[in-house]
Amino acid sequence: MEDIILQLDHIKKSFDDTQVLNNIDLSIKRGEFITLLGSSGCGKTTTLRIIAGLETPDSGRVLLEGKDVTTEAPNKRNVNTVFQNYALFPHMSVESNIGYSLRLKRAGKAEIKKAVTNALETVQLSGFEKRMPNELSGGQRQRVAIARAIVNNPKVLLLDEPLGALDLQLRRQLQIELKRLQKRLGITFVYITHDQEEALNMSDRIVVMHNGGFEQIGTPTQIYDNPKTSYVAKFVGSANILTGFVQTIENNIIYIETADGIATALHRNSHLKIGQKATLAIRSEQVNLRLEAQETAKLPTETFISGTVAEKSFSAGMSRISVTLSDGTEFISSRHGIDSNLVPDDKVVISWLPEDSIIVAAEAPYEEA
Amino acid sequence: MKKPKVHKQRELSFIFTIPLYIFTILFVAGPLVYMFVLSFQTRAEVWGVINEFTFQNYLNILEPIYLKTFLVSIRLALTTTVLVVLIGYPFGYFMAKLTAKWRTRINLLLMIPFWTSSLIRLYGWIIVLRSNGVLDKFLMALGITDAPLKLLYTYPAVVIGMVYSLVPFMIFSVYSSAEKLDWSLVEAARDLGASSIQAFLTVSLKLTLPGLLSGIILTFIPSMGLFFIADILGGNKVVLIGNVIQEQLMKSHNWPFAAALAVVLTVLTSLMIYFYRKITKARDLEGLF
Amino acid sequence: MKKGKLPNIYLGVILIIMYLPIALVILYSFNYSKISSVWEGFSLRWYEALFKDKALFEALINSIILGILSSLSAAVIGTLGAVGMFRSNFKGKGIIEYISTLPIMVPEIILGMVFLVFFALIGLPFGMITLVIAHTTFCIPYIYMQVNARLVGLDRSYVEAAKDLGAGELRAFLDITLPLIRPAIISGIFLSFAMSFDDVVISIFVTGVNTNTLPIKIYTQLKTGITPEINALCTLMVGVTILFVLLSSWIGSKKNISQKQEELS
Repeated sequence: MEDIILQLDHIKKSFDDTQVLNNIDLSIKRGEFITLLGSSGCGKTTTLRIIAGLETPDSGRVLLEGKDVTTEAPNKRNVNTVFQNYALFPHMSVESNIGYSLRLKRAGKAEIKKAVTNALETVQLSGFEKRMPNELSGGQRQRVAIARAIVNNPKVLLLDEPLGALDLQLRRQLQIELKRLQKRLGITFVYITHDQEEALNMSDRIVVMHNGGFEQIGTPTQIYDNPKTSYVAKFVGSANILTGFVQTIENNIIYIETADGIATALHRNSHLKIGQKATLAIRSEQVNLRLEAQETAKLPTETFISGTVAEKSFSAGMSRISVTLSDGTEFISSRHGIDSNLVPDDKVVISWLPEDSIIVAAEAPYEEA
Repeated sequence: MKKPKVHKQRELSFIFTIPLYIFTILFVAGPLVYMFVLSFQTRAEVWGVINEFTFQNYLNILEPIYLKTFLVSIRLALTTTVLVVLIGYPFGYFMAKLTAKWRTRINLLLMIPFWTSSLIRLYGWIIVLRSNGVLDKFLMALGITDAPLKLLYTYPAVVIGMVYSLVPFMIFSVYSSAEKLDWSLVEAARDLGASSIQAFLTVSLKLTLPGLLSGIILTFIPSMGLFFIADILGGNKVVLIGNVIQEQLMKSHNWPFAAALAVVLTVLTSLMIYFYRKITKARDLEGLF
Repeated sequence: MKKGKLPNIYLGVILIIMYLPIALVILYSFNYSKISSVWEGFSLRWYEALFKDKALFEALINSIILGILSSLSAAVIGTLGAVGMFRSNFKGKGIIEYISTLPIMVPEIILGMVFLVFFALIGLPFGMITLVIAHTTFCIPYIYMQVNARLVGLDRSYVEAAKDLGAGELRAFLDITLPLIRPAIISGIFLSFAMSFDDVVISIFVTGVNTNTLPIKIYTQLKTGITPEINALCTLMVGVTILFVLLSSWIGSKKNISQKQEELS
């Protein structure tokens, strides 16, 4: 029996007339690093605030270690938050900030001093006790914010896009540090971000959120390799989405008929039947392009789709070619190197092997992977 | 179920507002309402009021002498406001164009007279304006006049006093608006072919309008009520509504009548502000971007 | 550029005219002669007389006490009110807000009159009590608006962080909100004190027979007969004002620096 430390049960929340959270159910295991991933407006921040107690859901329950804390004030829960802009009290020093929650509990002076020193050591800011927040850099403030939140030994630590305001190098470095910290402290982390790379790097599990609901919950590998819906496929790793009707299923390969040709994918466990509408996803790194005029031997199971080159660009070491299909759908191919003598308006053939593509659901039911 | 947490916040916030509530209702709303009621009561024989409802107080206002006083007061307020705009607006505008260093200095220089008691400053004007006072001596020495102007205790003296007291408000108002002005907009207008004056009228003026408007209101309202300036600089020669009210209250003890005058004054002031706001709002939106 | 000079000349001229009356008052306070228009030599005699004038001194003390009491009362009522209103949203909110800020929108003469008749109606003894109540009432809007403006610009995540860390409503207010709005409260108090200290119109109406505030005393003296002592008094007041303005601007510039640091980071 898994140790569930936090449970969200049928949570619904709307603001004014907008439904922000639509029946959220989530079980979070003790000690795990779970990330809510999604673009702005998907409801991830609201979810976090409901866990923290800064918002109350319209219906549903929040259970912390089995106890119903849905309506409990934030100061009564043993849950702490690292805010997006750190929210360090500008008029208090670093040690006052960190020691604040302990002072509220009326802990002894010596005890507080010890806890503050320990916390600063943990985030590698020893000696910063007397500094004021406006004297610190962004990265330093973030660490003080974390120290302030962990000094309480909370059951769950909530982090609201803590690395958002930092530059790329610093972000990467702090991702590693945060992950290490979490492993060392053993505290359950609930992390929010819109950056899929961050989520994939740090999390034990990822919850992909969209429009107030969960698209998919799973480990990073599961999310990346086996996206269940087109949204997940597009959001995590850049994937192309194609829709058509099932023509044949043979030898575990599904042949999908589209306006521009036949696309193939592995059958796996999809419940598709002949004639049904099907959607597949293929990563742009796995898309092959060649000129239509070129004669090449074609494997029978290979995908064969016609299109016209629209644009070609080069960045970060990758050649990015975008191809337009007859209905206007854009297909992206991404390859290393400057590659290719293809130019805009060339008639090309898009191809891939069935092992490289995945059948996804066009709409968004989610399943535990 | 959801109540406990939300309630606590509401509770505390509510408790905080209680003193404000009490004070506002008791000492602002109450008195104003009472003034209104009072204006319909009758004055008692010797002192105080009887609870007899009457319109007489308002009818008394229609007497020429009081109507004239209202007109004088309004005229004074308007004159003052116009002069304050003419003097104060350019000041605030030019001030905003200065470098940061100079702006701070001028700000400081303005603060001192601003915070100096208005009475002191008025007293200074008495010294200047009275017969054979500084102004007279100055003008006679230059040969511009050969007899004392006797400016003190005249209508112009009161105007001078009012303008002098109220100009700082206009300056600060305009300045705070002009300070935020994006000068590159003016440059853009010039670049597109506008002359200095055109650029000013179409860009700067429109954008500093908020400051100008609030300055006008900050000038007009007090100028209807600063009777002590008329008292000091105008003596008995200049009589404003404020003076009449004071006299009725404290000397004649005709409270209901004073109340009626006050009600009329309040209504007048509010009406003028209301219409003024309406007019300027319409023009504001008309050509703005 | 010729045009460049004109604005500066204008500024200079206006400033000179502004200072002229004040300068004259100061000048004549050192005049030996009783009659201001005749200069009889430098003297400090009026300052001597000033310090011996008990009535004037009493009026000064009254004004100071009045100013302190009113500005502090207004600070408490206004601050709590602003904070409470900011976080509530009940039906009468707009109306209460409007009425409580009325005192600065209404001509002083009307306020004075209104206070007078109302206090008489409810039977309050005229004197310090009525003065304090009246002054507090017109000081509240200054504080309210300053604190409200500061609250609006305040990041609400500070209070949320405090609650997250274990603070209840009251603690969050005392530890976080209050210190952060303190600058607004303080500047509101100074403004209120100055408004109260300088008030003539309202004070005239609500004061008692035996209570004199400084402005009232000066006013009555200006009307009856000008004693040169007034010059001396005025000079001293101007001196205090100058000191005060310089002091507060010095403090203000220090705060600005630390606030800018906060904003940059």
